[in-house]
Amino acid sequence: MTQDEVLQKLRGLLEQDFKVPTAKVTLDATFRGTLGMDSLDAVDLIYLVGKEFGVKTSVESFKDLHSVRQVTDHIVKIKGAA
Amino acid sequence: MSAKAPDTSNDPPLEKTLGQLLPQLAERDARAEEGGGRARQERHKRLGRMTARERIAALCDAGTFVEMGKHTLHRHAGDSDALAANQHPGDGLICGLGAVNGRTVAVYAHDPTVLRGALGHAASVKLCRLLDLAGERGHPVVALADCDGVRVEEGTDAIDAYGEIIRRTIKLRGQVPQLTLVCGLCVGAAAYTAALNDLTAMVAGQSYLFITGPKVTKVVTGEDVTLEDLGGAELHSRKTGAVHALLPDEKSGIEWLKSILAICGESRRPCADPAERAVPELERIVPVAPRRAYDMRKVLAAVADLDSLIELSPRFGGNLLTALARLNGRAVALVASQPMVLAGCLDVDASRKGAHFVTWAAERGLPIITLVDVPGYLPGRKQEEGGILPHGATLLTAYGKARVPLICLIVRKSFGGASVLSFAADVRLALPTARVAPMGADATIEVVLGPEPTEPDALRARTERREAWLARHDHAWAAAESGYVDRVIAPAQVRRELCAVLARLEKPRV
Repeated sequence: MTQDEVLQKLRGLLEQDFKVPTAKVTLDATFRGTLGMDSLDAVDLIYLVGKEFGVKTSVESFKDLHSVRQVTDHIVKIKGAA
Repeated sequence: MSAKAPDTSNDPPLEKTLGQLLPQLAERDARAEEGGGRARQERHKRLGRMTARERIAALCDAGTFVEMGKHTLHRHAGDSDALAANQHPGDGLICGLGAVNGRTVAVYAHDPTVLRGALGHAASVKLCRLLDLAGERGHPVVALADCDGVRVEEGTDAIDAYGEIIRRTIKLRGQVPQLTLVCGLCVGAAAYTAALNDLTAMVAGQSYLFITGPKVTKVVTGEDVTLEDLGGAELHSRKTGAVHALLPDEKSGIEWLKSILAICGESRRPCADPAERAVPELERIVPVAPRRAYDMRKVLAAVADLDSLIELSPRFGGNLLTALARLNGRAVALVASQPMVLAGCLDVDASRKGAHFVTWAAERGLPIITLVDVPGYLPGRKQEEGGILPHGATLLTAYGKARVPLICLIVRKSFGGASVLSFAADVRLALPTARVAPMGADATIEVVLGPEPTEPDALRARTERREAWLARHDHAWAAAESGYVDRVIAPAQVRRELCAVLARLEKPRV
């Protein structure tokens, strides 16, 4: 998957489940700052990302991922390795 | 004068009135069952979680749940936009009486689709009614927790209401079993309620239990912490000991609740496993050599009724095992040294774990059977600083105050102050491998005979005195001859002997 494909899916997921407007979800957006998400949202997002992209996720593996770019890169990487 | 019949000529026909009312009833019921709305429920399910109603349905026998306060609404719509937008029937808490394997329990589940399950005044009032009912009727209380604490928008009302819940939870301690399965968030006052309950379980990867969440932690201390760091299942099952079981998913959690309720609710049940069953495997499991480790879990599993063993807090204070089980059909509490971890020494965590368990088991009227193989307290500055003294004393107090049958089996070592595990027993049994002493043989000989001399004749004489001392003191019969141990029994007969002693001690001490 390309970074853009991951980003589009992530936008859909954030809009549907977290009511985050698509326009706000840029690569440089941060989950806590720009998108206004909290730690519980983070736990839910990690689960949904795992389900949406068919990858194994854990809170630990996402601990240091704060921006949309970091998460998309992480997903591209693990999808590529699979 | 005869009574005149009321004039009903202008009333609408009865069938028309019901015809108007019944659809409203169905519509009201449907609204209450949607919780925070279909969209939120669907999202909750997409997260792989059960809804509050699904949790209750999975716990209770089919068709037995009688809901209380189904249509309750909060009266704080004017206090915040969030409250105005979230006035849902039931007010985010589903509670009532249901049957679990035929026995009535008081059960409540926070609905995370309504303001993340945060508890307000209206829901607290109905929960208090349920807890009062449980106390009056003697029903166990089960909480299926998914609660973001108190509703801060409701101000003093919310605090007042939760204070009432906590007051009742404390009052019910020792009266009825109180169990919590943390299914999602369990924050602040809700976390306190869970900690005040008898036993608490968490679901891995989706449940969090803490007093103060990441947001407030960041504001107050500036520290960036995750939910997992603050109150994840790993933390509580390994380090704090606040959680007694960690389950892989909600269904397993609910099965765990059912198994605990069965033990707590049915003190005796017919037993297909004969009390006389010999357990020769103990001869293989327990080594004679005092320093060789073995898994005490295997001893417990062999002795207890077939498939009846439920270990509690397996990941915390692993040097002391605590478990519920049945022995000839009688529900019992088992405490046992675990030589596989820290050689079975008592330390701070093990003392805390044991004290909580023994206190709880005694409150529940469960006979306590303790299997001892303890070389002493874990020495060192860390333990002393950690409060081994007060925690050890709490364990002693728990045993000393227990008014249930207390049976002790010394499997191998019972040394020093750590003999706390056997001090309070009504009946003390020992295996032939047992040794009871103020400290281990090597240390005792050092004290009794002094340091080893270097001169050959003196060394030979000391060795002879050492052998004589060991022959006199370092075996099970020394403890039996002194009267500390009532009887020495064969390993293969442990189950039969424990069942026999238990039957004779059945009546609680006054």
